[in-house]
Order: sequence, then structure tokens, then C-alpha cells
Amino acid sequence: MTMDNIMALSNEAIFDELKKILVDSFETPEDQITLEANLYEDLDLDSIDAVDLAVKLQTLTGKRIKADEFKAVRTVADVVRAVRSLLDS
Amino acid sequence: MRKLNYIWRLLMTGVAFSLFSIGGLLITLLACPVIRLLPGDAARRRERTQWLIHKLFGVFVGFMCTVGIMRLHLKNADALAEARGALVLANHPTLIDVVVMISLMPRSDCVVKGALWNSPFLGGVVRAAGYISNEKSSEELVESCVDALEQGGALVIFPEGTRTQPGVPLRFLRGAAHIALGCDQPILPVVLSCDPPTLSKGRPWYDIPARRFEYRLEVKSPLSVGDLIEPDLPGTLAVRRLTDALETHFALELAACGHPAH
Repeated sequence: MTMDNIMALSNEAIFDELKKILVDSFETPEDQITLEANLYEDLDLDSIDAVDLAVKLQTLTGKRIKADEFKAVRTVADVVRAVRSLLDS
Repeated sequence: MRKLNYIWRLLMTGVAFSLFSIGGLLITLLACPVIRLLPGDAARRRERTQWLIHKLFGVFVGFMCTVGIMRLHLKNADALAEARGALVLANHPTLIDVVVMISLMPRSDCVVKGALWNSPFLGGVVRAAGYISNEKSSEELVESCVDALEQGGALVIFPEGTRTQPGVPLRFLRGAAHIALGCDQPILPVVLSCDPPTLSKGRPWYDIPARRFEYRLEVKSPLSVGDLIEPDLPGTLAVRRLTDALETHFALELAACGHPAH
């Protein structure tokens, strides 16, 4: 996917990309991935996974994610919002 | 007679618990300053403190066996004494697991709870021993553990992260796998069991078993990451596969000794 395509991503498309990362890299069962799902409590990620996830999102968006901002992320919707604000910034 | 034995063991269990706290305070107050005064650098001081804890835990375990609270059965325990630069993994049935293990290990590193790290009784000792506080971010914690291993320490980790919940299947957290993947050191599995169960999670100290408990410790053959998972997996998957493999390995070992993961 090229950078221009990424910029034009809708929130639904960001959600789909995120879902793909979660399934491929973290073996998260696809049916558990909803916008409300908590990364740590529902999807069994740990804080080291969160760092890996941030790195993958950086690669996807081509933008740097601030560690502090990503620490506040709890749910899948939070991640989508964080990616959205990265793309819009 | 049975009743008398019960009362005796209850009393001695209470004594053992008090000894532990008082002993910790005494080392913090007396032994730590002496170790600080002895010549040698920080690493040497750490080694001496670890050795002292090893000896005192030996006395403590000896006390519990002598007064008849427990009976200890060891298998291949020399491997634990000689462990250097090894990640020592054990299941965690009781409160005394780390005490029994360290009583067999002249050198040992462990991860301790923040509450213990800051405790007035035992804090001084665990800090002087260079044990690792869990009050840091997971990344820093894994890094400290890898450092300890690379410096030749024998790092004791309970992959369950807490004592086994009796009656629930064995469940490992991913920390141990993160450490194993972060360095190139062997894994030394230690299988522990306690029969009848006592000092398990959620049980007060005075809830002692109907008879003296038999505590078994067996050191199994060392494992390497390569034995357990396929090579060249991406990090996030490797850590999951390794955690599953270790969990399965321990569950099978426990079942093989006829001890369901209680």
C-alpha cells in the first residue's frame, strides 16, 4: 500500500489494517477484535506487545508514534484514533 | 497423639514464619553493614549476600525438616547448585518454593515484588543481593533479567507470575519467554510439588495440612529455545510459541510425576 493510499484511509480501513496486524503478529482471534475490545484485558496483549504494535503502526503510517501517547491507548478504538491523528497531523 | 502432632506443627509453622521476618531484619541490620565493610567491589558484595541468603535459607529449610513440618525429596539438585548463566524456571505450588530453591543455589538472582523490595524487614537484603525489582516497565525488567543471565547469574523465574491457583490448569505469562528469547542461555526446568498441598495461594499460614507435607524438587534436563520452537519466527510469534511450549512441557512433567497441577 502506498503512502497516498494510507493518507486516504477511512477509519474502517484503519480498523481492518489493525485487525490484520493483530491476527498475523499477535495471533489474536479475529472474532474478538471489536472497537470496544481492550488490548490488554480482552486481547491478551502485554506492554512489550504494545511496543511492537507501535513499531508496526509506525511502519504502516510512516510517522513516528510518541511513546507517551501510545501508553494511554487501551482499546482498539483508541488505536484507530491514534493512527487517525497521526495521519492527519 | 495426632492432635498433639498437629498442634506442634502449627506452633512450629508460626515459629518458622516469625523466624523468617526476624531473620530478614537481623541480616538487614547486622550482616549487610558487615558485607559493605568487607573488601571487594559491588559484584563481590552481591555474591556474598547471595551466598549468605543461600546459607540462611538452608538453615530455615533444615529447621522445617527437623521440627517435622516438612520432608524434602531432592532429585538432581546438584544441577541447581552448579547453574550459572541459566534461566531457572519452576512451577509455583507454595510460598516456600523460592526458599527451597535458593537453599540449593549458592548464586541466584530473582525478581522480587516491589512490596518486598521496599519492605523494612527484607528490603535491605534483597537490594544488597542485587535481586531485580519488578517495579519497572516490562521492557526494563526483561533487560535487567537478560543482563543478570549474561553476567553468569542463575536467574530464578516462576513463569506463572504468581503461585499456582489450585485446581486451575497451568498458565504461564510471557515474561519467561521474553527473557529466554532475549539471550542465548539454557533453560533449566525445575518441577516442584507439595503433598498434601499447603502454603498455596489464598491459604493462610495457619491452615496447615493434616500431616507433615512431602516437598519434592526435581531438576530436569536443560532445554534450549531451539528445542522448543521453530527458528526464525518474528518476535511476537516466537514469544507466544515459546510460552505455549514451556507451559506444555511443564504440564507434561507435572503429570509424569503423578502430580496434577494442583
